[in-house]
Amino acid sequence: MFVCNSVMVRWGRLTPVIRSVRRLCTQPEQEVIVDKAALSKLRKKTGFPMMKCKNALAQFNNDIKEAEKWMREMAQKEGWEKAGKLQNRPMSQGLVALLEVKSSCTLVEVNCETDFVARNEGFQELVVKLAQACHKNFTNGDLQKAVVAKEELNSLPADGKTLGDLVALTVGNLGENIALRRAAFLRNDQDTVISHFVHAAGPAMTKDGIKLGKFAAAVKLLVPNTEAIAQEVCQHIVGINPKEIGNWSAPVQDKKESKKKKQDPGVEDQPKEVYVEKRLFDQEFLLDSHKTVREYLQSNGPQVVDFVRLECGEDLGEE
Amino acid sequence: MAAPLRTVAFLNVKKIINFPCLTLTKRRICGTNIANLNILKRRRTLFSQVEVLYSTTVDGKEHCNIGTIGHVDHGKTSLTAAITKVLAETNPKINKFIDYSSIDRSSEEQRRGITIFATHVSYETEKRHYCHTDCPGHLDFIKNMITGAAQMDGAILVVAATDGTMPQTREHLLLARQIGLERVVVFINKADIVDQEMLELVELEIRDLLEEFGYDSINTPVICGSALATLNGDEGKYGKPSVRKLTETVDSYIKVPKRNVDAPFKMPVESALSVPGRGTVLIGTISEGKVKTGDAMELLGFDKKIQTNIIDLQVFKKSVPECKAGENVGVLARGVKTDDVRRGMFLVKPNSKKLTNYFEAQVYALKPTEGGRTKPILNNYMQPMFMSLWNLEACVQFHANTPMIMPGETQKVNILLSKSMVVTEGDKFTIRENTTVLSGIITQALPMSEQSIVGFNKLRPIQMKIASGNSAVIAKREKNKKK
Repeated sequence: MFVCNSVMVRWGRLTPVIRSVRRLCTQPEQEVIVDKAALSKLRKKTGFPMMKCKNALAQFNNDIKEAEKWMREMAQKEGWEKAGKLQNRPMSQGLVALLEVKSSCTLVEVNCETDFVARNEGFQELVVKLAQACHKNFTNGDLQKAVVAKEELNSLPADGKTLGDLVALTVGNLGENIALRRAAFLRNDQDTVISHFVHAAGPAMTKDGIKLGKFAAAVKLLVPNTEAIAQEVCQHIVGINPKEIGNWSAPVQDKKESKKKKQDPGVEDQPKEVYVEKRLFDQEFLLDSHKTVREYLQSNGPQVVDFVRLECGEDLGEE
Repeated sequence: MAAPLRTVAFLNVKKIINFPCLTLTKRRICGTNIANLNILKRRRTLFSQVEVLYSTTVDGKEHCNIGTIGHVDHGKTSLTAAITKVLAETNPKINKFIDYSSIDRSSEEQRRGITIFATHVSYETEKRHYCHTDCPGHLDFIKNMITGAAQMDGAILVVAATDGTMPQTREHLLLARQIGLERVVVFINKADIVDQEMLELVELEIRDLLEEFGYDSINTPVICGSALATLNGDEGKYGKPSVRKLTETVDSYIKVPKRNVDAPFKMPVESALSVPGRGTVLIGTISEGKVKTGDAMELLGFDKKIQTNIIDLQVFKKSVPECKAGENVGVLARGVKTDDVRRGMFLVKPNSKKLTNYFEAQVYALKPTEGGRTKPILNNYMQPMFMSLWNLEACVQFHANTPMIMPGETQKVNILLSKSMVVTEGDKFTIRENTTVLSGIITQALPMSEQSIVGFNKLRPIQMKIASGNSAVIAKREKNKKK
């Protein structure tokens, strides 16, 4: 009876169908004999469940094209119905996807019930599509960083549908509860660099340039203008004349030694010994006398501005 | 050993083997026997819950481990309940009907510290005793393989006729391949609500898929039926008779690897004794093959390969001319010194086994909640590896494209040992820091690796300092001065 009701809504297409619909409505058993070859072909082409293919063919009198068209239109609605039925099932598995371009980086987490589905190509294609759609939406906005939760995400648009629609379609296809749990976004600035790391529970998976795995992290670093710094150090070397580089790690003892030397009871005849630092790192920086060269270099190294980490199936303390 | 093979089935291997049988006086022999008999009696009552660990026969019947794979909503649990119902009717004394609601689908068990989601049901047909396992996920099946006492021998793939094969059925078959299942039986469920044509089409689809994954698409049995109808007591074509047919097919189609008495002789050495005036006796339980006095043998392990001959075989202080797999014996070997022998070496037929220090294994990294690490494991992880009879330093080397293993994950890795040993496919091991970090199973023995890592399997040469007369005297005087 479900079949009858949904077809009734489409007035435009009732005429060729009315005869078979009437038969369906009046008699519980379908009189239209479904052609086996047609059923096989339709099933192979669309991959929709057997029973639904058969019902569709019965409705359209073994017309494969019409049946296929109708099923694809119905797929969205049926997807939502199935999603509604399954929505309370716990989802502990899934995938995390990371899309990075030079100017920004998007991470999404999509959950499902079993890890069989997480390995399935159809599910992975969904995750890729969702990542691309989220990325498009975020880059068009003006957020610098965002971590967005389920409710907002499902209403984002993607090619005329919403993300929630895409997920529902796949739920209908795979028969498991699937959800787009959260998404994160990091935007790059002029003087920063973004990078990422994705960990998959097996060999690395990449689809359409998007990396898939169980864990993903993105980091934004403030990177110094290395050329300018190098020039300044060169200027210092010309000016202060170091003889050797010295140790990167600041020695503590030297200060005591140099203090000791100064405290030595000096003979009045001898001129005062001025300790001249010959090691580059310990010299007072030419352009900033408050710092040693070492301190100047350390304060101008790369700095972490921001980071995001997504773990698939993480316990976030939600319901 | 004295205990007949069938009762061995009830006991934990460790409990039986560690009693020395040769140098005991009569009193001690009696003592250990009686103690063990008590254990036998206690364990007998727990049989229905105890997994068969050691033997492949139980009460004279062959034992088989099978599992069900398939989509969550296609009726795996109903089918399991239906099988128990049908078998409970044919043989109510041995089998009990376990209904759908009693099968706990979210049951968790702890094995060797690892948490696995698995449901176990056991039942018996005329021919065999079965242990039926169902796991919700891919990882759980892998964990079951790594920690389970026995390997899965076959699986029942459940597909609902209303849906046909789902996209994730491919992943189910991939898993079956990964855990080494050679044969699967297919059960098409919900067959009573579709017509014959659809059943044929679904069967064709399944056969195509089996072909794709390297299974025998022509000979794999496909049975149509309805688990629900069976549970409702339907005697029609798709009711109980279909499930009966399923059990019979599983009996005949799924093969159980038999403990091979025709395989070349292999015996792990558990301990060694020196019998004054006669030589060294190696004690262990023969795992494969037959042996008789006078046979030439090789003693392999810890980089050593010793050729020897068997002078005498003893079982419970009595000389026997011949022994076969399953028996605990003392082997008097010619030309073997007690210093040469170590627990964990293997006595094998000459040229049947090779020493190797390199093999491939499937490992699972334990989660912090299971007692494992919190930090991920990086490449070239070196820690002691523990097998049942020996332990050595091992270096875990990842395959390409694997930067690390997070706790809670499973991965295929290569392991390099510090000394070469006899390794067999299917052997289980653990790698420990202070607690168990990795639990694994050997999947393939690889040829000896040439890798030489200083401090691991290659020691730096130590410079010998020979104290010459004069300097030694001076050094001693200085030492005494300081005192």
